[in-house]
Amino acid sequence: MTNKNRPLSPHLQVYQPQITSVLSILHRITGVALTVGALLLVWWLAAAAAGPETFEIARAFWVSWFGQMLLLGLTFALFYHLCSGIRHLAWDLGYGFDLGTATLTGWLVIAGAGAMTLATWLYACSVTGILP
Amino acid sequence: MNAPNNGTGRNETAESAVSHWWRQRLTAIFLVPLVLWFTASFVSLSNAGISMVREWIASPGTALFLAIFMAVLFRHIQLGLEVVVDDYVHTRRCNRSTIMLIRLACGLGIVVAWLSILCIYFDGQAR
Repeated sequence: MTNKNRPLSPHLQVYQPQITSVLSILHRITGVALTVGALLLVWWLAAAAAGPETFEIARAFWVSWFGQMLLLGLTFALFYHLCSGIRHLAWDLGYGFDLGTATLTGWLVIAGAGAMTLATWLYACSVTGILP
Repeated sequence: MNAPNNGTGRNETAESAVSHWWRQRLTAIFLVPLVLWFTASFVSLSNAGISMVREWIASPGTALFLAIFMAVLFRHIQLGLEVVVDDYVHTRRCNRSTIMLIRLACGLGIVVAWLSILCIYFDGQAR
């Protein structure tokens, strides 16, 4: 190790973005974002355990426009990370490595995550009575 | 990833790197059904007040699976964030302290989640 500042790993700036590389970094970004979601989930559980006053603070946050936008983003991040994670598991088993398949499954992951997000929010709207 | 020497002076053995890789995959596989179950339940509670939420958590099946979900989730988060930190934080002290902080926070996340679930479960049983 002569040069301690040598580039070691993911250098995003030096590559032309492609569907495969963009999806790859998006897997990481959504993973980190979902960490925030997990912490908020713990907060929600703790608030439910603490009692009605605390739970009301959490509920008011979730139904606020900021809370709803955050939930929408987290829903997409969750389904994206889930679909992309399954694609990664297939790669780990040795499937889908050639360029054509990787591009196709990449688009499938985006479509799948989008469809699951839409379905979840339509279901949520029907539960809350916004939609019949 | 976790190369034998990742530039941080943290000489991870090949064995521990392989076990890290496996634990990340195993937690991922377990999370697939758990996440789908939780999301469906969480969304169906969209309109619920605290009593309905507590009633849901207090049923034995939910309490058990929720406890498993939170543990597997934070384990997966810890393993994933460690890889990210190893990729971008190369100075030994920063790398070590960030990873310790992640482990501490994930452990704390599990403890708070479990205490909350237990608290709601026993309260529900007492009623």
